[in-house]
Amino acid sequence: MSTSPRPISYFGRFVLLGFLQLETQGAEIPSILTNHMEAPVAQLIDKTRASLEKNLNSAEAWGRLGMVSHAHGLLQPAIVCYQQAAKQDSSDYRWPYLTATALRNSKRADAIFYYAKAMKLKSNDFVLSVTYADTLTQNGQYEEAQALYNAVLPINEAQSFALIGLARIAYIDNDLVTAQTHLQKARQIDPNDREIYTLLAHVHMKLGNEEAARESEWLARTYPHAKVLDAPIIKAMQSFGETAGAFVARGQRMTESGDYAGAEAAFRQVLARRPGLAFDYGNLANVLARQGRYAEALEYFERGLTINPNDVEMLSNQSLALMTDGQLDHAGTTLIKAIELDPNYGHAHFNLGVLRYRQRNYGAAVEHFSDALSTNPALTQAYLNLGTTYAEMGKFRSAIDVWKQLERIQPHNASLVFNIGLSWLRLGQDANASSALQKALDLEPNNRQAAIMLIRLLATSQQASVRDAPRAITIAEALYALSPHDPVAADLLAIAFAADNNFDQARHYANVALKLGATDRQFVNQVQSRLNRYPNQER
Amino acid sequence: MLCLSLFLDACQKVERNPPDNRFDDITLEARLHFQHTSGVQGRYLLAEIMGSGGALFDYDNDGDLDIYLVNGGAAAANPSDSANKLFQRNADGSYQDVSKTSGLDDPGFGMGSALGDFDNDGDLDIYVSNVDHDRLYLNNGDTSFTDISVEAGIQGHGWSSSATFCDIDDDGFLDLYVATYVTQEPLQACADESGDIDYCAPNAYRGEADRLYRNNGDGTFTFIGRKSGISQKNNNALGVVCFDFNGDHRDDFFVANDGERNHLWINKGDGTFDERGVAYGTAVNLFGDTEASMGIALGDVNADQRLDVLLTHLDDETNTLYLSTNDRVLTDATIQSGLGIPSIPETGFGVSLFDADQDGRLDVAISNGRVRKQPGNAPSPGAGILDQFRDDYAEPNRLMVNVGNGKFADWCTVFDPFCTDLHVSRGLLTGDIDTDGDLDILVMNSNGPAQLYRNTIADKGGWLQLRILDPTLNRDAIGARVRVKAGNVWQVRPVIHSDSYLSSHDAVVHFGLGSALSADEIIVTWPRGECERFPPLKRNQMVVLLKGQGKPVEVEN
Repeated sequence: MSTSPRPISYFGRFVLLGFLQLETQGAEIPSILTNHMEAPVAQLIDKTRASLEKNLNSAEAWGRLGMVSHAHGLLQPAIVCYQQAAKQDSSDYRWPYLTATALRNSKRADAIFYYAKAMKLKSNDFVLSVTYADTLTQNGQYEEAQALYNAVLPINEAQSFALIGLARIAYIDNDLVTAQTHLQKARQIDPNDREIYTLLAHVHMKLGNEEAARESEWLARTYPHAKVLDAPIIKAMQSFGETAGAFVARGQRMTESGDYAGAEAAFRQVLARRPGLAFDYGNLANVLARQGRYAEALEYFERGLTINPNDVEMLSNQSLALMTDGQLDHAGTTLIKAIELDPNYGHAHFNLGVLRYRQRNYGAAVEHFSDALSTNPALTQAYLNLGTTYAEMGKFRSAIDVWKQLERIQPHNASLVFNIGLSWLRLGQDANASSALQKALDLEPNNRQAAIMLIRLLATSQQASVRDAPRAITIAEALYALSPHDPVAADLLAIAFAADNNFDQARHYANVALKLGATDRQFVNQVQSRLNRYPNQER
Repeated sequence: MLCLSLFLDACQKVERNPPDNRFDDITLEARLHFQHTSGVQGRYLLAEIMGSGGALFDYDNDGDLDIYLVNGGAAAANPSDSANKLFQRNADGSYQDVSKTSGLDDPGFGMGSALGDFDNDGDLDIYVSNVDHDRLYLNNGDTSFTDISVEAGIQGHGWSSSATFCDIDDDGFLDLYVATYVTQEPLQACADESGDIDYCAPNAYRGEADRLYRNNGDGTFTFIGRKSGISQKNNNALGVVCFDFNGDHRDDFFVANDGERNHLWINKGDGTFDERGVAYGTAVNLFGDTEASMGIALGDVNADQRLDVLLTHLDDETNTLYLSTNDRVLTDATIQSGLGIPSIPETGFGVSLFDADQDGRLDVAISNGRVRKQPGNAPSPGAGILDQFRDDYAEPNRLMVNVGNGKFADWCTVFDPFCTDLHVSRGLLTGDIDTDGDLDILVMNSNGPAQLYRNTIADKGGWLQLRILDPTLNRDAIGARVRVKAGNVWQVRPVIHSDSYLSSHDAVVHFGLGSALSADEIIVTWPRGECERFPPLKRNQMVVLLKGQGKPVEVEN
């Protein structure tokens, strides 16, 4: 029975590893001591091993024990099993791929060997190609990495990863301009990838472009995540994880993807395995709250806070459930406590801002949303809320300033741009409003509200430079074509034609609007009033 | 397998061949009797495995280095066995415990210490960072120290790690930066990937905000953390170095964070700091990965007269070398350096860039020790708790030689005790402990003895030690930069007290001169940017250079 090696001398460790290499040549199932592991893990290992004992010629059986071991960090036995699986079935690229994955962090050169083997069996798996290329780069084999990145560039899902990889190699070569070019392209494909901005900030800095460096730096802080390769084979291996920790990770992934029922099941498994950890109760409470089961959620928050009353994340999340349950004062007290415990916890500031907004205490809401942003720039929702609060207070210029910061992060957020346009309108800045509303419409051509506001502006603005009757007609015609039974659309078309001094058409569509909106007296009066003012050409 | 191990154990008992040794273990010979304790009792509380560090400084001004060792929590029958200890070096090279008489027998759950003459009276004071309450000790000048924490306004609560003194506002008084780790709530163990009980990773807890104190010049400090911006970010900080990283003659802070982006706080000169780690290239490694950063070393590894940064990391990560470039930003050059791959299986903590063989190139010493078990490493039957602790977490240390152009090669041999001793090593310091001119190594081990290794490298080059003093401040010119040309090679050293992991040292700078008989050019750039040239100096001596006694020069920075 082999035991894990006791610490020995440096020289001895080298020899021992060599011995292990020899050991993998035979078909012996690696022995794994399980008496110190969590019971479900031990059971799974024992069961999988027993199954393999009956099927020593089965690649799948060897591979399964390999994956079970791998999922629990037992890399040496995993590698042995994968190699045996490969012997049984040398055409299945999973086994060298997973072997490489197991070796990747600790023995890059060996990992590269196995990646190459996997590539020979399946050269069109772009996830494998990118991971292989990344490992080659980490090992200083830049030319080979470059060739692989270039090979996957045409594949949409791989593009941004390949561009980042190429940028990195260009950076290592001190070809900063090329690095910058690759990163800008990657940014167009995946504008939310933190990794792009992290490297781009550094490239800008090296090129002496301080302003661009600061912009990228800010974006790197604002986007919380780097894009991750979706690797089905790795996920399949990870799904064998039976520890409480594995279920926590699973639950968190499911929560992020919106599968709250699945997350709930995972977090319940966690509690079954290790009762008594505060954040486990918090995790379950969160997904219950997301499913609208607030009473249950609050019960689990209480259990978690009994164990750790100073868990600021739990206090903050509990406050959301309390707010939704109508317990606003309690929510406020909870959040104040969280902030006292940790003044840098942005989520607590954010939630308190939401609470104060609901309580119509807009001054306090502004303060807390601002604190949320200064402590955690990745809380982009805080920009939206802060701007909305300012708008509610009539401080439209402040609202615009805040929303424009968010626009740097979310340049394609149509409703954000629309809000900016509305605020410009409230400030009487018709030119800016027109520009913003047009952008909102370009981003979302079916945005009815944006179309309505823009048509009115282009047709009736007091500022001659803003008026553009032909454009108003074009937009109004498009709106009417989408909704020929909508009286408002007909009325807007009438307004637009009137602005263009085409009163025949104006009268025509005004009458259409009157017919369609006949039951709305206020609407009828408004349209009629305009109709009466149109000059009669026959006169 | 067992037989092979026995065979190897037998090998180690073979008498060592002195010429193959680079560093001899002289702990017993020096009578440095210290056993670190952190309360390991099988509860796997994180604080047990993170400390400790120490300090090397001449506390009694007799010209040699004394040793201050930080201890952890009480687990011994006698509480004083878990207090910090000060060892005075005797003339015969042995050490005696003067902890009680010195007043430095701090009883807190210790992490590290930072040296600095904060009152400019010519002797080094010491800040002790603890898991609970930190303490500031004033050197009374008579080999005793007084705890002045309360009067000084230092009210550090929470888990402090490394700390450093430097003058951030150019008023001549050393201010204090305290790096802080995580909250410890709740006190709990975690599990590894196999479900076996193990220490938690730092992300199981909330990070804490670092603290910055301005020295008021009257023996008191004012907390300026939030106003400065430093305390507006939570992080898991373990290491900190203070130096001018962007060439504007103001001291900045490089903070090594465990499992999070490192911070580079650039001093704006108005009492505030700007965090620029991302743009300067030090927040993450070349691949955009955050790493578990522990120790920091500052030194010029590629002889371009710019100070580079080496960070130590977890196993499965490399130690990472950031090279300083001519546009002030730093670049991850780990792959090219050769420092990366050998470090992957190891968890590095203390680190020193020092010229071990005095050939004019900085070599590397790293103290290693795991913080997580090898998955599948089953308990040894019948092993006591501390033996099991060592079985699970001990690793050999590492020595790397600089072979030129910023490239390194493994320098360990099977006979080198520094490389073969197995402990859970943490703090590491280099200094001329035996006053023979070369640099020796002190290692602090978690739940183990402190170990002293004397430099016995054969055929070393010449050396020069310089103490850089500002007589108007009555202390070392912390923040100065010293450049020496010997042969045709320029070398540069920073004048600092604190680097490595949880540790600090006197500020004497050491240069290896190789075969050169003298240092032909010596230029000191004082902290605020003024430069002075000093006359050439013959090799193999220690000299004090005083500000104002050189010739002012304009030097291209």
